[in-house]
Amino acid sequence: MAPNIKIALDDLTVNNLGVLRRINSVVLPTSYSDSWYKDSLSVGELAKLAYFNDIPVGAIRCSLETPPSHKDQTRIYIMTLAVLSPYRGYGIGRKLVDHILEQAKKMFVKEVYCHVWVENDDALTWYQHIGFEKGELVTGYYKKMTPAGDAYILRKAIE
Amino acid sequence: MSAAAVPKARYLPPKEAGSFRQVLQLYETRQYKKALKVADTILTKFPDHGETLAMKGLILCFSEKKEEGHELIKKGLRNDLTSFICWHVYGLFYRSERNFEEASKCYVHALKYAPDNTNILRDLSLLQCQMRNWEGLITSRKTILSQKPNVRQHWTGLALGYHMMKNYELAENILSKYEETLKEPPKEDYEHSELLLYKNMIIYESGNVARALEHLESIADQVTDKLSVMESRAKYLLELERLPEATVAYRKLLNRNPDNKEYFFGIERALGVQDDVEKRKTLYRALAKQYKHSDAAKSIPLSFLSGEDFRQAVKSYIVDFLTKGVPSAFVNLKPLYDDEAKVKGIEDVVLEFLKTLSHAGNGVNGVGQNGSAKEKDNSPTTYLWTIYYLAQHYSKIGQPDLACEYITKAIEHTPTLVEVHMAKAKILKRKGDHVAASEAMTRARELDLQDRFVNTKAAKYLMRAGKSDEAVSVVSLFTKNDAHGKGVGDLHEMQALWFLTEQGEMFNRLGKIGLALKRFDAVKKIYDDWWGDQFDFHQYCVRRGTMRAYLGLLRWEETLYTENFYTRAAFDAIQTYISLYDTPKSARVAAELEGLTEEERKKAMRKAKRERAKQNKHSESEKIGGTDDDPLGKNMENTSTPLEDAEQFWKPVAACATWDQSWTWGEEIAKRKEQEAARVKLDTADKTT
Ligand SMILES: CC(C)(COP(=O)(O)OP(=O)(O)OC[C@H]1O[C@@H](n2cnc3c(N)ncnc32)[C@H](O)[C@@H]1OP(=O)(O)O)[C@@H](O)C(=O)NCCC(=O)NCCS
Repeated sequence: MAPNIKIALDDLTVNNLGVLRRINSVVLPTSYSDSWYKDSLSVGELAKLAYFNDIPVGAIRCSLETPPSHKDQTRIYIMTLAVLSPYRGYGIGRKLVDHILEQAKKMFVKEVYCHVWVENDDALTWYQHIGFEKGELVTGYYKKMTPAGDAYILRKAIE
Repeated sequence: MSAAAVPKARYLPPKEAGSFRQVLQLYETRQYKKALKVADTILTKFPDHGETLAMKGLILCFSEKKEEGHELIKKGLRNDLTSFICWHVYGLFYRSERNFEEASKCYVHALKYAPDNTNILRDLSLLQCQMRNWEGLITSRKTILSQKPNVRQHWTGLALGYHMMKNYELAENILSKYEETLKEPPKEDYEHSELLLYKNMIIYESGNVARALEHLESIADQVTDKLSVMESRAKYLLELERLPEATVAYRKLLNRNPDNKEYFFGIERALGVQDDVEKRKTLYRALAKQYKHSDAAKSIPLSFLSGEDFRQAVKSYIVDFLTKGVPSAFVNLKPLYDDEAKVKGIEDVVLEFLKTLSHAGNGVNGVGQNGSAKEKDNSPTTYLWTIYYLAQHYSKIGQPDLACEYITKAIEHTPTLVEVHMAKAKILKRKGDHVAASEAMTRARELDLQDRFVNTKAAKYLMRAGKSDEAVSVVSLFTKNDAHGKGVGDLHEMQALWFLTEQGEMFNRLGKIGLALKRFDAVKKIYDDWWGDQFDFHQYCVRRGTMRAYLGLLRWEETLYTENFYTRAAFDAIQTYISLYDTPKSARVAAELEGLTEEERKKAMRKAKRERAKQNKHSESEKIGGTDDDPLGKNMENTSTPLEDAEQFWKPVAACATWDQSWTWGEEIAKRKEQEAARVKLDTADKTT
């Protein structure tokens, strides 16, 4: 491994919210609203920034989904996960997801899941590589795309 | 004083005389309300009693009723011109106004009527320090010392006078005499130790280095500041050319602190290698080995090496920085940029290094087939810091387009790094594109809202771009804000020179002359405050015996008004006043209206009126709260004495020993004043004929 590499996670705060914005806007095709970013401050440990040698280069932002019915289980949904391209392959994505899985455990949440665009082969392989299972196809999930894009659900059950 | 000597107007019957003493006591203990009451009881019977009037006035001045107080003080003095109390009070008044010159005149008067009054003598001596009236200081200090020879500060105070008059012998003698008065010198005593070092400084400044060294050795055991003994010893030995001993002395210093460049230069000279590049090279190679963590040992050789030697040295120096990710690499190397050959050497080295890096930009994709980056031999940040360096490099050597190219790559690579956005802003600023520069700086700020440094820069760049209100909002995130949520008042209070200067210059560009002058004046006031603030130290330092620190302060004050921030604001102000003089308002209007038809003229007038209204509509952020009755500086702009106003800014600069003779503002003002005088003479001649 290249020498002297230090990777660490830190909290999202009102002062570094601009970093989440910047990372998402350069890595992800979808754009998010101001209120979405503001809400990111209220999800606690479910939003994190990742640092490579003290430079912020990755971010994850999830939400806790409490279903309307008691019978359905509470789940954690990964809304965005992004690592700046020069910093990929250093275990940063995994570290961010691992952090969420740990939170899930602590919160007795049984499942973490996300949507991935069917054409995004890299992400599909990646999620499976780190232990997620490919689930059902949701047609027309990406409504803003023309034509509307389909997505797979990727999920990981928590023991 | 005997009762017989009391003039009739001053005489008070015993009861009132007692009351008056009470007033003095209450004043001393700051019980102003009570003091006023007692003073009034005296005045009901003796309404013209000068000393009581003066005391009442003084107390009113300290109770926020300055004008009324001032009147009473003057009245009191008029009623009793030979009273030392009245003169002393008047002096205290001027002193509180920081009008030191008038104050000292009053004290001199007071002393005429009470030549031995220690309080007045002491007060006067402080003013003499403030005014740098060393001859006067010697006289008053001599009297004080003869009255109280058992107090150390009176001896040091007198020695100071002689020292400043460059009478080193007497200065030293005075301190020796003081030492003789001590039965046993105090041990481990900081104040005594400072006194000994002060004496050593006097001996050294007298030019007799050998004796200074001898004296230093004789006091070394008693001095608590060991480092300063070591530094002086090394310096003296070197000056005396006792080189082997000097070498040892500098070695010892380096062992304590291998980052002090002065020590390195000292050892070079002690070894006699300072003029021989080869020997210097060998020396620094050894030093760098010995002091592995010393930056100085590695960076000093960069200044004297050349050719291949330089290339090798700078290569290992830079590559180390770039791989470690030290953001300040460029700042450390900037001093070398005066030398073209070195600049070329640095450029080659960095470009070569860049080629060795694997990164997305040169076709070698960072992530391997299986997505792992682990086998890569360099971190992506090395590439990042390298192109960041090149961007700064090309901006510095006047190639803004290349600089932009590199910084754009750096931002694409890591858009979350504050430094790259700041660098982009700086590059654009150098190109003169202030709006884009400020946008880049804002992008830097958004990444870390709690970084005060970036916040300050962002505000500064907004002002450069003429965005007055936005700048104030940004900078106010870090200030105590007024009712409107703005921090301009606080920035005045915190003496934020950078802000006042930038805002002043911005107002100037926006044509808001009054506000601009207002800010330049605020800068001047801060410097005047600093000049005035030393007053407290004349007493404090001499009493505490911290003479070396005190002399440092005095010498710093001598150069105060040639500091960049002062001269920048002052020259801005002078220039503004001069152009107000050169084109007075009426002339400006007349010039615009010349040659127009009646209709056009009316139109132009209407337009001018609208413009004025626009300019007068000032946003909240421009005003500062408080009791200022001219918050927009209108009075300054409409001054009838622009040249005199300009002169106020110039005088303190010209009074500094360090002023740069290439500054021509003094002449510019003088030239115009002569013209003005000639014109006035002509006018009066016209009228009389
Ligand atoms: C997906 C993404 C977050 C991965 O981040 P990352 O930091 O590069 O991933 P990691 O380094 O943690 O990779 C973990 C493991 O996956 C492997 N891997 C990385 N990229 C891979 C890929 N494209 N295909 C298969 N495996 C991959 C790594 O080799 C590593 O394996 P190991 O731990 O067994 O050695 C990042 O590539 C990204 O931001 N992509 C674009 C945005 C996106 O698609 N987000 C997902 C949709 S929300």
